[in-house]
Amino acid sequence: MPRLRFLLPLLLGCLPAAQATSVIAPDFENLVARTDYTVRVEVVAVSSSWRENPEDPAQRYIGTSVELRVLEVITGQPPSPLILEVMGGQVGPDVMTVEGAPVFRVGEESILFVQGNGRQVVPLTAMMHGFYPVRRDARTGEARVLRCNGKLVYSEHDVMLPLGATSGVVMRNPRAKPLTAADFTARIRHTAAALAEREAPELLH
Amino acid sequence: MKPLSSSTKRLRFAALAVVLLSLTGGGWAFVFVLNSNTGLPIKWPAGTVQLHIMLGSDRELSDGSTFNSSAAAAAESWNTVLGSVRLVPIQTSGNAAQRNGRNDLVFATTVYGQQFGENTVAVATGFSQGNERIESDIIFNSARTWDSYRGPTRSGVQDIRRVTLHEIGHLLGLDHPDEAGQNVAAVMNSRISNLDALSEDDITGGQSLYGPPGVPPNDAFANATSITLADGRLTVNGHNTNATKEPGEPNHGANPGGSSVWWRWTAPEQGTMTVETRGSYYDTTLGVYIGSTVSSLTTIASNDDINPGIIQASSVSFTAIRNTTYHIGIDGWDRDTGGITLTLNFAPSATAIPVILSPPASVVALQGGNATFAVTADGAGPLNFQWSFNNSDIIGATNAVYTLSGVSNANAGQYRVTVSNPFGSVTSNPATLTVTIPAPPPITGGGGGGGGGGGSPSVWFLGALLAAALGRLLQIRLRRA
Repeated sequence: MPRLRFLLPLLLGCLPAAQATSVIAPDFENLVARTDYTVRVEVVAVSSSWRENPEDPAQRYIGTSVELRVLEVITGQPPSPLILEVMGGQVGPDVMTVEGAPVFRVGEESILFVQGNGRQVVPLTAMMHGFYPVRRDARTGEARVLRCNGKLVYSEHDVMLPLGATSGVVMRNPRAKPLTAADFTARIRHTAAALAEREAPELLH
Repeated sequence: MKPLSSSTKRLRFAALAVVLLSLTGGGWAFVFVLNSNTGLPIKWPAGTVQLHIMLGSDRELSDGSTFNSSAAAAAESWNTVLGSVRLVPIQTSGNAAQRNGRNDLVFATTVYGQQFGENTVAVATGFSQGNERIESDIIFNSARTWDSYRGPTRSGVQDIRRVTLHEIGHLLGLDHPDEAGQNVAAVMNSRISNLDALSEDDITGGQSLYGPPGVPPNDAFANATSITLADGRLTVNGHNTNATKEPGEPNHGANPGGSSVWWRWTAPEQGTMTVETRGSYYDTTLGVYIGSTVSSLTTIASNDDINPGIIQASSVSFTAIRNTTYHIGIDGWDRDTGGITLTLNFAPSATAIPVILSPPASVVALQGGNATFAVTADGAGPLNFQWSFNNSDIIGATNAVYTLSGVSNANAGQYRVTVSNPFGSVTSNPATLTVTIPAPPPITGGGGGGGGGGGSPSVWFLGALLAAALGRLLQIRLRRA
């Protein structure tokens, strides 16, 4: 959503006071605004290999290609096929880790806020803050959205909470229901539309 | 991509860590970067870890430091609390290089040619093989505004000291506790806070991997820590960092090791004891022994890995005998060191088969005298005893003690006792009865003998002498008559 980039200077002023050591957690509006495209995906395949540092080909690092099956395009226009390029992985006995980077396992489903694929260390908006695993509720069969630490998402505003914090929705109502994947998707679309509305110039007829 | 320190993987292992920690009763929340194959933390081997700090020393920061000296101070903060590794800050200049065996701390606009991402302040990367970290680089986003200061965080200005504290925590092998669902004050949380120094949770996490400075109090066999179980179980924590191996000490788990520590436990009754090191933070070896000196121990049980190479914790089970003291030695495979979680589970044997604690001893008895055999046994009661002589049961010999009166040569031979209960039986090794004939009584009648000189003259001799004297006297009187 290139048009939304015009909002960035404004939105930067809205950053929450709390910051991550490695990553500054965005609020939900920032998360949507900064994302190239949002997709609900299933991991099809992962493969790791040594890569060259384009700035210094003599230096190498391990990178991993994550092939995704797009289940739903929520915002933006992802390429087809969609393959995420992530720094880190394993080649033979060598393991390279990037602290804070999510991992992708074949068959797992998630909602991804993709940013800078092929250019960033981790092509997700604010690393782990752009990664929302989707899991089926064993009892109801509903698809639930989790934060990267496995906590259920009760509100789109949970995305900017410290990872150890309890959702404000639960604080107010301990019996509150977590968001389904459909709920979360709808709120992403709603926020993207609101951002686009704000960005669009008024037309004179 | 499974070796990545992913949130998904972290969740799995963090959950495991939480379970293990809850078992230990600990309130700590620290989590680790784990080897996905073994489940053990990825950490540095004991020794020094050089940090090539290339952040710059030409600018004085708010606290009077430079970027280099502030980062070096962060490293020293970790050094004061760690045992088996020492970070050696080397303030220098240059660029980060990946996979060169050097640990670089640099400012950069990219991470090996890849963009940080708008929200990313710093990235810690690590290379490892097995459970060992072999390189780690920390790259600070030079697009951010940096300073060095204490106290509350300043909007839009990153504090190089506390970010370095955090990233060195990653370099050491620690992960974000708040991403494991924990709620503690920690520099290692994923969000920076007003906390500008290592918290108790950070320190405990670091010491679980590398131990505290100094030698553990139970390094020597003679200083083994005594264990008393509560309701048949107990989990204790310790570490073998900077511990040593004593001369004559056995190899625990058939590995030479070299950094052992000791616990001891006395069985209150017979039962099955399980000792294991699950939840420890390194590749342990384990041995259980009886004996009073480290160089003359009898091995009761020994183990290296629960599942060789996969589950590198150790576990043994053995039948514990009442009032016997067991010495538990824990070392590290190939001198590996770190935090130990030792769990003991004891199940008293309601169905314990008998065990002979003290077998019958051989006896030498005088013919006509008495001979007594005794056995001491343990097991679920009631215990039954049956003595046998040359493999034939002795009728009525059904107590722990068997006594023969007026023994004769016919009683000489092998005696065994079989101890039984409803769950089984055990037969002792044979004890031998040797019957000796008493020394022959002194000769009190019959001629002969004589001679030999000394001693009292025999009655016969005296009688003969008297008779001879009487005969002589009679002859004299007959002549006079």
